[in-house]
Amino acid sequence: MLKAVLTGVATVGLFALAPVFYANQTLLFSAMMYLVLAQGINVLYGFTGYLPFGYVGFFGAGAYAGALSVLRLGLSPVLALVVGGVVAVLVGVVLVPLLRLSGAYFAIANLAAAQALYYVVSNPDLQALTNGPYGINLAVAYNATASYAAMVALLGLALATVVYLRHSRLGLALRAIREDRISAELAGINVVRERTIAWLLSALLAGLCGAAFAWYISVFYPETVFSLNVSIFAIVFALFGGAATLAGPIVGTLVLYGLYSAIGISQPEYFQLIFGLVIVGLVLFLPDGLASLSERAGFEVP
Amino acid sequence: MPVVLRAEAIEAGYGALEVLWDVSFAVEDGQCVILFGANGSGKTTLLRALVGLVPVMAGRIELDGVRVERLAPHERVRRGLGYMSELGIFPDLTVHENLEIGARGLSGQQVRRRAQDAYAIFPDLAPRRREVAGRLSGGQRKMLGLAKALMGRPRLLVLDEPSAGLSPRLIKETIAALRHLHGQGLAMLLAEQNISFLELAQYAYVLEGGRVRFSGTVAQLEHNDAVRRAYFGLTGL
Repeated sequence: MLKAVLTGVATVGLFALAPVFYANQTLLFSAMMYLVLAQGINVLYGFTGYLPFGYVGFFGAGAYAGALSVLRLGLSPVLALVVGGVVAVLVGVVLVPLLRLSGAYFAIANLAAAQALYYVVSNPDLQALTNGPYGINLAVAYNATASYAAMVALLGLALATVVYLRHSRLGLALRAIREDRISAELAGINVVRERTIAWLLSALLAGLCGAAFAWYISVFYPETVFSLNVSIFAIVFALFGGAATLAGPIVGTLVLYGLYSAIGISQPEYFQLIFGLVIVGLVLFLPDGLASLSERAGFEVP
Repeated sequence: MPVVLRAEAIEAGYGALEVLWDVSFAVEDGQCVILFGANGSGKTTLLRALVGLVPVMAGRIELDGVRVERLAPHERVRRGLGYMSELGIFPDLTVHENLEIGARGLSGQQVRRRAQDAYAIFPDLAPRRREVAGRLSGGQRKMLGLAKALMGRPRLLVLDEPSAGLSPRLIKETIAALRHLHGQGLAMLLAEQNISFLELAQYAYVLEGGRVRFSGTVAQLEHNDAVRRAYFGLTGL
């Protein structure tokens, strides 16, 4: 527990102080964003086994809800963050029936739900409400420092959520459900309720993250915040490091996002190649991520 | 004696495939009841219907006088039904975490106290409490499954083939553990094919083709020639 708390505090502290030493705040912000999303994936996949390829749907819903609540309702950006989180949770509530599915069926249905949300938001007929395909301009609320601070706080929340799940009875119940749903039910665990809690917690993190992204970036389009790449990056980062741990997604995000920043923008073709090889290698040789290497060597991963 | 579990005219099965017809039985407080029957006779389906894993198409199940046949499995467990299946443990969790899972809804102190009780009954588990359950031997896994089912202090412990996969020595140890628990007043319902478990029971039901073919005390069962020949292949017990 202490190791996990120290890991979380060190990570948050690193990103809180990093702008003092490193000028590219946008890169730091994006890294934090993917850390939060990777931990959100971790909450769901690591503790329940559901792999949400449509996770970006919550992110996009949070981005649009946060931005529109500033533009249409005149809310402060901080309150808009809360709205982003709440709307993502409401989307999660609507999609709860997807939890009846499993494996590839869940992944496909979840992806379809995110795509449906994208088409609703980008529909030109809804231009009066969402500005349709023309995107959002939130320049009126632009504040890079405050939105960066909000993402640091969100990172703290995401890490605290995973620490809680790693050391609480809810987390233990979720791990039991992930192992064997029927045995878990026969041990008195309310499988539907516990899974729904994990699903909504995961949605909340993505929604808050989307709203913080909208605040920081201030101009975005539907295809930006509903891009499948957001889901895939977050999933690969979480799995590369090791799901169901706190440190795994942190390491996965820092290593792979670092790689992306180093070559992904200047030489995208090489990055795509390396990224593809990493995914194939991960599935074939390290299905439990880097964390499993450490555990095999006898070191407990927080 | 008050009745802990009463099943009346149960019909159950898998989708359109009906497996149990008109099955009725009861377990009294502190009693050990054994369900005998060959493979495919419906024993496991009956237990699964009792705990809610197989839908009951007709009939009623009462636990301490309250109808439970429409409740979800976890609700039946919380009302006092403890279930130990052939596997029944979580191999990737530690021994102690398995016990914690079995004691949902209790305070941390209560969980620790009950875990201590479980380690006292199953001393082999105590030094392995931090070990992953998947590394335990077959017998230790069985003991862990039993200990986990007991953590919730069930009113009735339901056991599906506790002898499955065990050596004769481990079967003896399992029977000794169950005798100890039954001696403390725990009501039990056992589905078994191994006649060694008869010594635990006071009452027996024999299932064949999804119907009850015999019910009576264990003494009556032991003196029923037809049952002995049909199910045990024995001429004397």
